[in-house]
Amino acid sequence: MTGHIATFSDLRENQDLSCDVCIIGSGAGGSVLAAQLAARGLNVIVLEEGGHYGRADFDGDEAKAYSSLYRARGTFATADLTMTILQGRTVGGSTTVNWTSCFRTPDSILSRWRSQHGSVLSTEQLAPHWEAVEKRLGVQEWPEKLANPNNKVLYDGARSLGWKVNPLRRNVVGCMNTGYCGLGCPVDGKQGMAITYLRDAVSTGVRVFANTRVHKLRRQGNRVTSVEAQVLDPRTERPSGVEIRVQPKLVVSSAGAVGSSALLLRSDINPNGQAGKRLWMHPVVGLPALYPHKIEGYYGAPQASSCHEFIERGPGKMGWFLETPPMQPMLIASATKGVGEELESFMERLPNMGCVIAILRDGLLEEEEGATLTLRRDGRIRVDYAWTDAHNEAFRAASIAIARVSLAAGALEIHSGHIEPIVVRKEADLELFEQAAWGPHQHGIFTAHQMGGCAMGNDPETSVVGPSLRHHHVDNLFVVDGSVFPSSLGVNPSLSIYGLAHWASEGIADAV
Amino acid sequence: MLALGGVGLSMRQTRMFTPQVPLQVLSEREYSILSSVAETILPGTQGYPSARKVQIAERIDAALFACDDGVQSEFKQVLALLESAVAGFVLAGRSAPFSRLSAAERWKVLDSWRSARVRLFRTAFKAIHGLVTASYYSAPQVHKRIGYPGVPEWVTAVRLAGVGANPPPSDPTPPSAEVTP
Repeated sequence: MTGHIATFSDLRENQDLSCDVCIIGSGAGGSVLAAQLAARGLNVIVLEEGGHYGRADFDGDEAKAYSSLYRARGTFATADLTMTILQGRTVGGSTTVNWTSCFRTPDSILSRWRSQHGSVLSTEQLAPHWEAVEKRLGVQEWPEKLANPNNKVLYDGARSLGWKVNPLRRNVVGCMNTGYCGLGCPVDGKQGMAITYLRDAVSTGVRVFANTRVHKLRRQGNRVTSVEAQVLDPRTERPSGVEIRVQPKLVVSSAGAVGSSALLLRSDINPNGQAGKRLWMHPVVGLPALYPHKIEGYYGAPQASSCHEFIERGPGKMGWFLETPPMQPMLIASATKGVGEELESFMERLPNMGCVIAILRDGLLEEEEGATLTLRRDGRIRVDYAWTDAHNEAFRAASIAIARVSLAAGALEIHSGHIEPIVVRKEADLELFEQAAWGPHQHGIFTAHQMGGCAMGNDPETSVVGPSLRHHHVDNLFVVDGSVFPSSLGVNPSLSIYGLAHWASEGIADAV
Repeated sequence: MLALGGVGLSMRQTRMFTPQVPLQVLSEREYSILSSVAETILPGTQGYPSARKVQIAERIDAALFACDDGVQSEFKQVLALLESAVAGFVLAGRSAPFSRLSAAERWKVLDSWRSARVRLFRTAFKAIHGLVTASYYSAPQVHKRIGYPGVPEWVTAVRLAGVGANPPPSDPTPPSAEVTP
């Protein structure tokens, strides 16, 4: 039996469907789960809010890619706009636009989840699942000799400071080092969900509905009876009037930290008030630096190296790790607050510009609340992030580290993202960074990793799903995505979500 | 405060521009205010193309088309507040609409929003700045000026040829895990 991926143009009439398992979202969680459940002979339907795009569409046009492949057309942010939220919203979810970095969940994080939240996940238990996923997705180390000049900055700079820097593992097969991961891989080198697990799922009979937004899970007692969805016209992103209703035996929300939290709130499934609380964002600060030689960071695998020297910084301090972003012009320009001739002079140096980013590991300190997701009166999603002094301290320390790495790699100037950028040209200038105010409203911050909001745990009062990822209060509802993480990870999250879904598929198949 | 913007719009004349393509979301007046804003943030000096030439306001209008109603109306409110002479007078002592000010005066207004103590203004600046700079720097005419060569021809050729390491949908056999750049 072969399934299909139906899109807006195929969906002209209302449909009433039934199946064993209805999965909401086709990203890292939903696609792996769909393939695994279908392989066990289950009848699976996947509903995806975003459109279906592939290499024919991935032409490297930033404006087009951000508006078609990202949530809110790339403009999603916290309510006060202090943090831009980059999240994929397309068939394949964020795996279609991520930068391919793969890490297994750190053992220290898993053990923390076990001791503090009653999670049952361990390195031993997840290992076979990671191995299976890594094999399917071609996850392997990206050799240093293939690193682009922006990653060489991180390699060389970190090493000359005596900091450990490692090649990243990436889910690519036949990667041509184009540099366009974030805009959809133009050569299908990236092994995103749309061309791997979701493709496997479809060939095993799974029916996928793209441009189909689930607005509500309807309940009777402690069971979901139907999944109510509206078909969206991709030209307007508004409901076309066509409705899809699915009556499954079991429902899995795999809509991501933002999507799953919002779905539970829209469906009024929030008996203990924990849905949408404690989202973790891995807040990112990035500092562009200018070099005497060409960097051309818009070409070549954007993320190929990482430095975790400062992930454990001692009690009370927030850890962070260093990586690199792609350097296409729209992303770089919109990350500045520059205007006029100052912005013109800055941007014309793009070919000689490098950038190192620091990713903050949030959610591990006592005082943190992270982000809270709520619904506005008109139904739109609102995200507010509770910043702490520890964030500001980490932003400062990380920015100084980035400047030191860049200087050590030969940078002429490092620019902060403040309204009046602070420019560091030599070691002595770092004092300027020490003195400056860092944090929200001071400089640009973004997130590409959203986690939490439907935390797993064994206490039904303080968590949303149990250790098996079944909802505490709704028997036939599971959540399988990064939203179940009780904290952030301190590593890029995609492989943690793939592995989690692969592991959870066994229990979910048994629960049908 | 947003109500002041509405009042101001009706009282003074906005400097009008003519859109190059039919508008989908913004009125001609809102389009004109946005054009004045774009021209201020992106003056088009040093050999850069002008914001008008790159059709920034037209591009933003098109981008807003598929945004939520709430996002559209908030963006329109920000434009109205910025243009409002009444709000401008109350807040900064100016008596003309934003679009009627000189380039230097317009810049002073935007800069005051950029570093305002009141968060509403900083947030509004950020929203406008993000849309304007993103639209401008994603335009091929601008890429030429900043030395970004764009997508290499060989990438496009490979993309369109459809050759790659992955099996077609009819063959779900996992690909071999070899890095072959």
